Amino acid sequence: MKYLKGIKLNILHIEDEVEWFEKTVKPLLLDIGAKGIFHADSFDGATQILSENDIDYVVLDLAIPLNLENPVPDVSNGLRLASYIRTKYAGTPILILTGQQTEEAVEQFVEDQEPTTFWDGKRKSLVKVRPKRRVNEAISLLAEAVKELDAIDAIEIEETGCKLNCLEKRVIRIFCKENSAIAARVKTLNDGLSSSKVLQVSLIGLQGQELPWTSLVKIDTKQNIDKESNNFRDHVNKLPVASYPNILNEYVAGCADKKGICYRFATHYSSNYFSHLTSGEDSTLTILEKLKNILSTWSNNKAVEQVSVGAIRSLICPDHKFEKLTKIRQRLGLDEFEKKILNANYSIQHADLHGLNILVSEELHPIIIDYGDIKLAPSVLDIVTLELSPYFHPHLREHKAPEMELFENWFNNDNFLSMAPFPKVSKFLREWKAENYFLEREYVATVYAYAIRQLTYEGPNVEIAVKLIEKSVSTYK
Amino acid sequence: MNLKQLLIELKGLSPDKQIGSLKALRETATPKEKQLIQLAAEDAGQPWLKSALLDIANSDKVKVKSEVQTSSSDDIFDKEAVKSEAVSDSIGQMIHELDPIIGSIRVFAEKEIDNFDQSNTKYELEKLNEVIETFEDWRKVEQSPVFREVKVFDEISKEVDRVSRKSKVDIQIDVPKDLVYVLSPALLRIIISNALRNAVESSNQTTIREKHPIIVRGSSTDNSIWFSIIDDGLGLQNKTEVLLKSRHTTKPGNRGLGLAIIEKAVSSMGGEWNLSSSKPCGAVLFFEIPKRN
Repeated sequence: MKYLKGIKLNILHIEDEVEWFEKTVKPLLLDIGAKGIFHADSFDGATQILSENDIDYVVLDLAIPLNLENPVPDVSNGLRLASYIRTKYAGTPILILTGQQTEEAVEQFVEDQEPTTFWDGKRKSLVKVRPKRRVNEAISLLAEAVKELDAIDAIEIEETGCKLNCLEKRVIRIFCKENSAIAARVKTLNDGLSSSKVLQVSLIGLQGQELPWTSLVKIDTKQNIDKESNNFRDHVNKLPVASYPNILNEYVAGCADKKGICYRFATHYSSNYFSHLTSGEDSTLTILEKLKNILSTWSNNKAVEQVSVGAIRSLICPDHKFEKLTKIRQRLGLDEFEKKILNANYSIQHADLHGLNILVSEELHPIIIDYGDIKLAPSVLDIVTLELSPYFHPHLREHKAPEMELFENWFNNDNFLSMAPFPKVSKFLREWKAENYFLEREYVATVYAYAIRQLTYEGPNVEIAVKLIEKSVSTYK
Repeated sequence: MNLKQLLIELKGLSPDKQIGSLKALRETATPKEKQLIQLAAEDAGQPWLKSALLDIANSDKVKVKSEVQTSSSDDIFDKEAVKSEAVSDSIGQMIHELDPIIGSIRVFAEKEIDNFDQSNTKYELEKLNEVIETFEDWRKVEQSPVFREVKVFDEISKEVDRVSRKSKVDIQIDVPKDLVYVLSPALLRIIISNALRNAVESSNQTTIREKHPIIVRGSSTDNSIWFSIIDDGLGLQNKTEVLLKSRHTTKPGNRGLGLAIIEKAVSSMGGEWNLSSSKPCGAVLFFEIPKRN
């Protein structure tokens, strides 16, 4: 067998017969140009290597021991490891190379795998099985994978405003491959605070031409992308057409714990809500009117819930983060404040509706993106985010440095509107929230929760957040 | 024992604690509880857990063995189960040992033998692989079948695809595409593949007349599902009983062992089978599996 030399692929082989690995398998893996060949002889050994290295492909014997203390090889250990890899490194392909491939549980495991778009751009399962007696076929499969990975590694990516790691680039490259593109221009759309990357991607075809449609790729952990995908199917596609992009595909193959979801826009967008807000209020008002109409699909289905302030806060800022804010909790008696009960109108909310998540077409039509946080929450949450994100989001934080007096008067409508930097927009948002909320307390509790969350980010405008928390506590009383 | 609660707790434990907990369960569970464990295994979700639970459920049959030895009870079913488990374990161990060696021989032969693709070594290695595949089937039919809903047409199509490249005649499937039935998919595949292999071998023999395609026909009734694999080959040269006995005398992979495997697989699912001559030429293998309550 002759294979291409010098190709990069990290392979982990889990095999308790060390001699067989050394004498038969390892030379074959070297032959096909694997970059790093890792070997483990137990479940524990494998999980350690996986946690310390970027493994592109796993070759797995099933009858393996758990660890030194439990040295008896057992098929259930191999299956357990396969399940572990599927959960923790969902994108990592597995080749089961074993003498136990006809076990019922093995067949079931393989059958249960959903196909995904692989490195060659075709749909296939990430789990394959070959008996050890056909190790030559197994190696041919790996050689094919090596060639495919090498081919997509040649796809060029030009990054603007972002730095993608090798797994994130792999997501983009599989997207290119599936669409017969040879390069991609990638520009960040969120310089936000989450772990995710939201990217505008333009694909470049074989003739060097840009493909005539714009796409958005969001990359995050598989768990978060699965949540986003479910949110899209459950909630976003109930909104009016053209107010959101459509899902093209999801990519996970060889991306370890990362996953990408790709959307295509029906309408071309040229700006975002923040850029309109900073350039003129009239266009912003037009966008907001349309946005209100779009989001009414969700807010029209609201139901009154009796909840505590703490319950609202935990929807926006999780308990484990809140618990770390010991000083302010003690100083302002927040634990007591959070016990207060109120009525709130709950409806589906985007829950991260800052200006970069609202793209705007040339006709000033808003297109909502980034659906990972969508949830049932107080029906003023998105409005509060629209009101407050200009003062906290890194994209605009430095843009305007408002006087503290503005936040001192946040809950005094007349005073607030007289000093607001965007008076028309503020007036619109205040009227909108009054249509949505149960009573003022829902709004106060939501502002409080939003401000608490800002304290959990590195380098936020702490002074503003603390002032809003103080005013929320005093206004609520 | 609250099995459901126990399974939930088990999933949250670290691997070594899971093993400890499963060992304790294996030692303490009563035969009745092991029946419940068998049922729970079918819904276990995670394959490793399913495999571990089935081990515990089946360990009951080994326990019965010691009871049989100390009493005069003539419990034929359990003796058979113990025997089957022993046969299955032995074949499994044998395959486990042989598999990597055969793999290595193939790898080294490809490197060391000139013109390997045309060599006798390659031909014999392919035959060895077929023998191991037959042993795998044999092992499987000795295990307790796991029943579930099967899309019958899809399962048969897979086997037909596997076999058809070796066949000189067409293989046609005459089974309703939407037929779903509770069966052991593994055993169904084994019966169909062995029956097809026999039919292909027979149809591939050179004769003056042109042969008709092989037909896999099947349908369900109120109480059972039935299949016929009909070929237009040489037909039966011996009585079925003689063919069955030949498992001890002829080379593995031949019709004898194939039929013995079919017999075991059909009876494991509580069914019946029959091999007869087809008019004017060839043979028909018919089998019927009763509906499960």
